[in-house]
Amino acid sequence: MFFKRSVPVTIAFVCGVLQVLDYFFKWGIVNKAAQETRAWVALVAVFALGLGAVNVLRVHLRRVQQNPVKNATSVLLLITFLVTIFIGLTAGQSSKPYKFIFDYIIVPTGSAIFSLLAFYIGTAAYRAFRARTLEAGILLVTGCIVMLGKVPLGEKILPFAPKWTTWIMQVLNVGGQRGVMIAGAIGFIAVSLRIITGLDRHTYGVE
Amino acid sequence: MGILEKLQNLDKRVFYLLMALAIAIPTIWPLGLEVSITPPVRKTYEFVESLPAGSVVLIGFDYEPGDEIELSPQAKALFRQFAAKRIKVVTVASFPVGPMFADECLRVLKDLGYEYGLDYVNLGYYAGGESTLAAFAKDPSSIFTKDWYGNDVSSLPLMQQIKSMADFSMAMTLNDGPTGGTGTHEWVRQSVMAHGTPFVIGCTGVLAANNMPYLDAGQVRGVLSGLRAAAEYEKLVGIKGDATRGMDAQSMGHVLIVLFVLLGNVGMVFARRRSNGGEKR
Repeated sequence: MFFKRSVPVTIAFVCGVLQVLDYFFKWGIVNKAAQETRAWVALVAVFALGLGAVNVLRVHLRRVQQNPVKNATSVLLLITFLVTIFIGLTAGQSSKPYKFIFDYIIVPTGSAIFSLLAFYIGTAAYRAFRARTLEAGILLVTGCIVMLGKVPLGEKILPFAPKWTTWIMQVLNVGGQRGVMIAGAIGFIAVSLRIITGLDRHTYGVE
Repeated sequence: MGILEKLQNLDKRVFYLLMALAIAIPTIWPLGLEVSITPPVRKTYEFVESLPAGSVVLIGFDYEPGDEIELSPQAKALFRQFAAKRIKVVTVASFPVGPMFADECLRVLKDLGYEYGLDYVNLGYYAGGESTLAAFAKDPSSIFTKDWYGNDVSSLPLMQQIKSMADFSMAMTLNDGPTGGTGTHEWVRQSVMAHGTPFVIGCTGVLAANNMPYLDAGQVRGVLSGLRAAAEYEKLVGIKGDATRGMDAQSMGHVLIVLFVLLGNVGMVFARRRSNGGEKR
């Protein structure tokens, strides 16, 4: 219990209180300690990244061992994973081969997957955007105005669309978003306090 | 099935085909539609214009390949304005692929006569999101000892001028949302609130709504959202780049979606009227 709960809670409490004090006061030793703990976060995050990579390797190696034919995508993943790491470590990340992988494999595949959204969102909008109620009708009209107001061809079709879009975004949207942000920030403070003081048991893996 | 029912249930393959054509045709044969300048983009441009020549700015390349098409053109257009004022640039990235995008965009500055280490620096990737950005903001050398190319950061003349976030005349993030990197809210907290550094947001189109409150409250000096903002910026700096060309395809895509949504609704309204009429009879 001591190592599972008391130690993590104490570390979280010390680190959390340090950050709060550092923000509001200029106390040499506190400021220095807070800066030091922030720099540690980068190290911990890099370690987590490495752990993630090892986990990906383990999961896909197991799949390949079970059935390499059925899990051909895992074989492909392992090959590209290892080749990219090998080139990155030996030739460097600004080398030509690494740039080749980035420019001709990573960017086009990433963009291609993302661009499919245009098709899926389009058909989803066509099927779901129906003015069955007054609220749905308002949403539909607002959505169409904003979509047209954001593109030059829309301006040609509805000349008032850009002005209305700006008004919708900067008045109606800002009012709603501001409420969400303030509520979210208050919730964030409450959750942070619970974690720092050890009241939030789930954060520390306690059921 | 009558025409009204058909209008409500068009085969999605028809839509896919039309969408592919709507994007492909203007990409091959551009329409050359003019974009008008919106207030958030004008504000950003005017703020950068107001910076003294030779200022140093920090740019965060916080996006992944899927959003490159919206955000890289923003960076390239901004860099042209920076070059005209000889503004120096330091880049960081909260995604592992970010430094590669920075490297590609910084080529604009290199082609315009900028010298690495003296006028621009690509510091590379940092892990840890907001906490690491906070540490960087207080003391950049505590996070980066080597730049993206492996040079000692302390040996770079530009970095010798930078002791904290407050030494930057402007900070900016090119951001695709809180999906693993440092989000726009985190940047606002660490640059504007903690150090008072003027801040500009460059984000994807879908994030525009989330970030408008900052502009309205005066916490950020400008918001560039999506490809549209990049096209507007290209117009302001007098170039016709990827964003200007992409706007034609985006125009057709948006209009097609609106058209389909309207068709579906027209079909629904008339079908409902017909069924109501039938019931009355």
